[in-house]
Amino acid sequence: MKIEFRNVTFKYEDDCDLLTDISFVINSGEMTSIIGPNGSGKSTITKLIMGILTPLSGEIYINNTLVTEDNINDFRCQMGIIFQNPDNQFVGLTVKDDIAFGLENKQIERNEMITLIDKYSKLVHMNNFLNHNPENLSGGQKQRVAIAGVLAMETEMVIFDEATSMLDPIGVDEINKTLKMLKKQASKTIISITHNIEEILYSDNVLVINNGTIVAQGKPKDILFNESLLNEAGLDTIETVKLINKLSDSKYESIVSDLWTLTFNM
Amino acid sequence: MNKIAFGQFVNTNSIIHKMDARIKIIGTILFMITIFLVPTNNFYLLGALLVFALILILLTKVQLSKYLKSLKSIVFLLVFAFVFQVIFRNNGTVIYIHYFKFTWNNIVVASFIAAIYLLIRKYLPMKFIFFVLTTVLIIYILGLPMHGAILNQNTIKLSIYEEGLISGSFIILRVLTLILFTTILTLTTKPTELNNAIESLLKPLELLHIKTSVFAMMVSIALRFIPTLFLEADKILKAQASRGVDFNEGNLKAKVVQIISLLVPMFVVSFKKADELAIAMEARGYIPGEKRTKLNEMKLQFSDFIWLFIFVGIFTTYILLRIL
Repeated sequence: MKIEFRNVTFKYEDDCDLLTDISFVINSGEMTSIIGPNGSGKSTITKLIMGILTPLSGEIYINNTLVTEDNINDFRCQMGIIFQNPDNQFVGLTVKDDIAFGLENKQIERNEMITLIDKYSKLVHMNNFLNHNPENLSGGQKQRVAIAGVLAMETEMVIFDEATSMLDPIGVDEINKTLKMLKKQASKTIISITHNIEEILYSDNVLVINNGTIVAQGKPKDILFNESLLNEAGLDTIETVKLINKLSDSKYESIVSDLWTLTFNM
Repeated sequence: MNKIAFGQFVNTNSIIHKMDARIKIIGTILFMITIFLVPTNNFYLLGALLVFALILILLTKVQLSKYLKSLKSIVFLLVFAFVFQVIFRNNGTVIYIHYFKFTWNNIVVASFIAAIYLLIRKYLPMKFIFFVLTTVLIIYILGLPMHGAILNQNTIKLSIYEEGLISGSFIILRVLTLILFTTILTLTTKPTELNNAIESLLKPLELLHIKTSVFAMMVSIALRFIPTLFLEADKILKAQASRGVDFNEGNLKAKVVQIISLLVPMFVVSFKKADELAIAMEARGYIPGEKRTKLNEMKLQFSDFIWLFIFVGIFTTYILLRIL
């Protein structure tokens, strides 16, 4: 699923601009991270892609087709979204019921549903919890169930809207592992919206947003090395990069290259 | 308050557990009606129903203590109903007459006992039994022919009639049987199954263009969110307590303010949760009232028909007995 923003501007009535003249392309099958501090307009981009909001000016193209109010529903059923709060998106009374929720809406036959639930609960390592209640699960586990529920619908695109921001470190780790595995196994378009710099490491493309504009766009490595730009956007680069910067002397070359491998092939 | 179990489901995988939830609901409703079809003071017919309930209880393989626990909450109601029947029925044969003599001596001794009871009540195990014992003791003392100035010229006479005792016991037995049948239902059926069964049973209403699937979705989401909201309430309580709100102290006015300080954030949280849930549900393709397939399909087994036959059989027998 290819998504293209052309000079999109958005604001709520009588408010200052939330997004100003934004243009970018998200290619099909790629993983794109959108990073920025709180209130920078990241979530507004998701809402624009999902068609919950419509731009004030500019156009959004999905698969080279201009998005209008008439065709947004056709696109929307090809998008899955995982929200911030794992509790507020758990619909079913058990894990199994919750993964089935979207499938029931899609009117998928029962037997096929069982196969899909089995497949995707295994993918997120929740297959031993199928009959558990949400109260007995940790935040990370609940979020993994939400991911399985979205993946089971087999949409072309999955959006993670700050899916890790309400989790403890273990939960964050669980979700990031799932994301990495997803990127390897499934040829889905993934958009990850985050304010955690470490989460951009394994994406193909990164958009840095600040005050409603795109301040940088590129490969994660290039973004991470641009420390001053990240600082300007209220973000900080990862510790390894800081260390590498400090060590960039010829005699530490081998250590630096080792650190690189460690960071980007993790 | 970190684990709130909703519903009382106990899994023992007995034949009652395997019974289709719809049959269980129909059975419970039929028995409720049957219990009220039993003619007043006919202990044989009611006893037969109680025996049937006990057989079902044995078949559920759930510990008896679970049933007793559900009866515990209505003990007060039962005793209240019994006492009222005994005091206010005044026809038939008198079996015992109790004279209350309000002499100074009696009143002082009775008040003394009552005061001791109230003081040590906190530390007593099995509060209810002690309450009954104290009450009986006070009533006995008030009946003693002690000397002393009589407060009231007339002694008060309490007559206990046979009729009162019989109808009191009948009411207790009736409520007891009723509670046992409903407890069997709730102990052996998961809330999810109950909800699915209710949805399935209400399906005929769709002919009247009432969207039962929406209703069932509402119930299921309510079931899903009760524990979450409890946790949320707990968090707010703790947050308020840490800022100095004492929920146990204060007069009525202070209490009202405290409750408002809990209710307002609770409303805000609930609305926010509902809003986010609605967006999440919509994002996963839920359209209210639209046709959906079901993961949990309910299928009637042969044994379910046998159970239904038994339940309807008992029901019709009681109707026939009532008519003939």
